[in-house]
Amino acid sequence: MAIVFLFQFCKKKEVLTDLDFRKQLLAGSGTFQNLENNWKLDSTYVNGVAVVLTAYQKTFVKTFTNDGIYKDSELNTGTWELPVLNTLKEKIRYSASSKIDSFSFEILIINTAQLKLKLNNTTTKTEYLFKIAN
Amino acid sequence: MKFIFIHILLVSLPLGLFGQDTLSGSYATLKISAGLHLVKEVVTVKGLLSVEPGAKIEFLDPGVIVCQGGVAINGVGQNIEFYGRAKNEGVGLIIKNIDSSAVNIMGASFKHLQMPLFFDFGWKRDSVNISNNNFIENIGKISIIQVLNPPFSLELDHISIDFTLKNNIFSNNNAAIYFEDLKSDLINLSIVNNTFAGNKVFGFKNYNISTNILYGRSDNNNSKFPALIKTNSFVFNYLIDNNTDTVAHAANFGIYGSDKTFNFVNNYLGASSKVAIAKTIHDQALNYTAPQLIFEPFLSTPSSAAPTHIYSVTTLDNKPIPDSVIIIEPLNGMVLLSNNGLNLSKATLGFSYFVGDSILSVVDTTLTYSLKSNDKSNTLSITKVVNTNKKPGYYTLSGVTDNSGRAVPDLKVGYNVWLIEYRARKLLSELIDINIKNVEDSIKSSPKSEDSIKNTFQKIKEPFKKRIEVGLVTGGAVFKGTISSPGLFNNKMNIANGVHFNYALFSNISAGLTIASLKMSNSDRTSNSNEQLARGMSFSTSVLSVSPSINYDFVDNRLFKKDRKIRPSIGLGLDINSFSPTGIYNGVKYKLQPLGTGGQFSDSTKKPYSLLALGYFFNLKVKYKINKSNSIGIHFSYHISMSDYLDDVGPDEYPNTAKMLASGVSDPVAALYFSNPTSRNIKGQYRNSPNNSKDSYIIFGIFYTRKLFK
Repeated sequence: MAIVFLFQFCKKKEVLTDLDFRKQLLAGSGTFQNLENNWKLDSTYVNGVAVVLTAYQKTFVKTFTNDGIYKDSELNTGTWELPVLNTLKEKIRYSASSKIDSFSFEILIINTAQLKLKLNNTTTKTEYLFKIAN
Repeated sequence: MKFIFIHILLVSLPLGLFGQDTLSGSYATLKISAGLHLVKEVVTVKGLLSVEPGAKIEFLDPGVIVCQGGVAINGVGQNIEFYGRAKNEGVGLIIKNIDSSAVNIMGASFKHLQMPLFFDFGWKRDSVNISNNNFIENIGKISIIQVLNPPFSLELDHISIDFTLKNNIFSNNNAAIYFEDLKSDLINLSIVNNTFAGNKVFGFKNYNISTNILYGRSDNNNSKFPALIKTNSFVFNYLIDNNTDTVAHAANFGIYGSDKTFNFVNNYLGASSKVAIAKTIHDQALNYTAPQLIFEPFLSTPSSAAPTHIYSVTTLDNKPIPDSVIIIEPLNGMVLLSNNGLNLSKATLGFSYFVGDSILSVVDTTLTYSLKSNDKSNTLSITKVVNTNKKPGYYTLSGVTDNSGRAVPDLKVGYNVWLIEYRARKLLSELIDINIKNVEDSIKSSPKSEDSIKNTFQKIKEPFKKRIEVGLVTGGAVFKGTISSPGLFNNKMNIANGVHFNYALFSNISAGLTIASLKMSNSDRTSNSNEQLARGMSFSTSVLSVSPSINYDFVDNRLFKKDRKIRPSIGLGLDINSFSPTGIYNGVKYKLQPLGTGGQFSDSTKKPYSLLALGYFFNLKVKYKINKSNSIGIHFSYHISMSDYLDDVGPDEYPNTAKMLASGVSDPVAALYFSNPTSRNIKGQYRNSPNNSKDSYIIFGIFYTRKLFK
C-alpha cells in the first residue's frame, strides 16, 4: 500500500510565479467563488493631496475577473492585464459614449485588502486607493 | 435452678466426652491421659513422656512428637492408639538426644502414620522395650521403625543399650523395619516373637537388601552384641514396585555388612522348604559381599509365642493356594491355618472382582460362610456364590481376632495376581482415556498455534541488549487537516525520514520509538471542494516528531523460522510534534504563527497557538526478516493531532481587516493575506469549521531495521 501511495503522489509540483500571484490578488485565483475581485474606491490623492470624494464617488467599484475582464460600477467594460509586476493596463469601453480608452497604472500597493494605483500623466499624478469589496 | 443445672450438664457433657486436647510446643514433661489428643505440629517433650491407657493421639501432617527423655507408654491390649488422620497423616514419635532413661512402648497400636518410630542418630537411652504393639497399615514408605546408631563415644563407656522388640504385629504396612546395625557394641538387640504379616515394602523391581520387611547391617568389627532374632514369623511380605503397584518379589529379610554369617535361626519364613525360603531373603546368595544368612533350622510353622496370625491358606480339599494363583473360579471355601486359635465371630469375608473386561470397576461383596474350627485350623465353607461371570478377584478376611481379643492381621487371597490384572486394566483405561481425549480435542478445539493470544505476554529470556532493534524509516507524509482535499490522492505528499528503535517486551508485544523529520504542505487550490477552492489557503510546515508506541506483533518475537519471515504488527502510540507552519506571500516565505493569521494578535481575547502539539496514532507494519539480525518492511500510520494549527488554520473567525493591519505584527499585509488569501466575503465566517477542527496526517513508506547485538 505504501508503495502504491509513493507512486501515486509522485507528480509534478505547480509553482506559482510572482506575477501570477499578483494577478490572483487582483482578480482572484479563478477557483470556486474566487473568479473575480471587487475593489471599492476609498480615497484619492492628486499630486499627493487628498481629494474629498463625494458619496457617489465612494460607491465606485472596479471589478477584475480572473479571465482578464474588467468592469466597474459605471457599467464600463473592458479588459485588464499585468504585463509586469507593477503595471496594470486597462482597456475600457465607456458605456455612455462607447469610446475606447486605455490606462496604464502603476501598482503601488496590492494585497488581499488594498489596491493602490497611480496614474502617471504628464501634468498630474493621481493615486487611487481601493479596498476589497467582495 | 434445677433446669440450669441440667442445662449446664447437657452442654458440658459432650465436651467432656468428645473434646480433644491439642498438643503443641515444648513440654518439660508430658502426661497424655485417656481421651483424644491432637498433634498438628512438632511437639517436643524434654523429660518423660507418659501415655496412659485409653489415650488416642491423632497425628496430622506435619505433626510429630519428639521425645528427648524417657518414654512410658503402657497400654492394655493395645488400647493406646497413635494414628494418622486419613489423607493428612502425621509422622509419629522421634526418639533423640542422650538421656539416662528408658523407652517403654507397650500395648499400643500405631496406624496410618508416616514413620511410627524413629530413633534418630545420636540417641541413647538405658533401655528400649517395644512389646505387644500393633503396627498396622502405616502409610509411610520409608520405614515403620528406624533405629540409627547411638553416639560412638558410648563405646568408651562400655555401656550398651538393651533393645527389645517383642511380640509385636507388623501388618499391612508400606515400609520396612530398619536397624543401622543389627550387630554392634552399642545395642544389644533382641527381636523375638514378632509377626510380620502381609506387609508391602515399596521399592523398585530390583530386589535388594533394603526392600525387605526387616533389614540391617552386620559388620565383623565392633560387634559385641549380635542381634537375637528368633521365633518371629514372616508371612506374605512382598516388595511392591513403585511404578506399577504390583508384586515384584517376596521380601522377608535383608542383611549386608562385612560379617561372614548372620544368625537367623528358628524363625518362620513363610515356607517349609529351604529353596522357597531362600527366595524371600537377601544375603550372600545375591550379594557376595554380604554375610551368609544362617536361617536353618527354621520353623516349619510359626511359633505360638508370636502374635496370632494366619500363615497358610488351602482349598477345602487341602490344596495350597499359592500367591501366584489367579482367582477366577469361585472357591467353595478355604482352610486357614494359624499359629494360635482364631476368633472369627466378627470376621468378614469379602470378595472383590472386576465387573467388565477392560474397565476398572470393582465390585466388593460380602460372602456368607459356615465355619468349622479345629484348634489352629479353621474351615470356611462359602455359602454365597458370586462372580458367576468368572472375572479376576480376590478374597479378604478381616475382623479376625485371637482368643484374647487382639487383632489378627487381615488376610488376602489371590491379591497379588489381581494386582497385576488391575495394573493391566489401568494401563488400558489410561490409553483409552488418552485416545478419547485426543479425539475430543481434535474435534472441539482448533489447534492452537504458538502465536495464540495466550502467549502474547510470554517472557523473553534474551538479555536486554539483544531485544533492541534500530532502523531507518523513509517514505511520504500526507497532510489530512484543514487545508487538504477530501480525496487522499489530491493532496501533496512530502518526504518523511526517521530513525526507529524497537524493543521486544514480550513474545508478541514490542515497544517502539520513532524520531522523524517530515514536511507537510497543502493548498486549497488542489482540493476538489468548492468551499476550499474559494478559501484559497495554503501552508507548508516542517515537523520534528518523537513518537513512542506499543505494538502487537502477530508472530512471536522469539522465533526465527523460514515460514515466519513475514511478520505483521499493529500498534498505537503518542506523537510529540514540533512544527511551524509557513506560507509564501509575494515571493517571501513567512512563518505564519507570529503573524497571527487567525487574529491572534488583533483580538485581545486570543493568544497565539503553541508550536508543540501532542497527538496519537495507529500504525501497521509488515516486516520481512532477511535473517536473524536484518529486516526490511513497509509501514503505514495514521496520526491525529490534538492541535488544529499544523496548517495554521484553526477554528477562528476571519479577522477584521483593519484590526489586522493595525495589529502590530511584523508584516500586517502578509498577515492579512494569509488570513484571507482570496479576499472573500468573510463576514461572520470561520476559517475552519470548529466542529471538525483536528488536523491529521498519514505517514507511510519503507524501513530497514537491524539488531545491533546478536
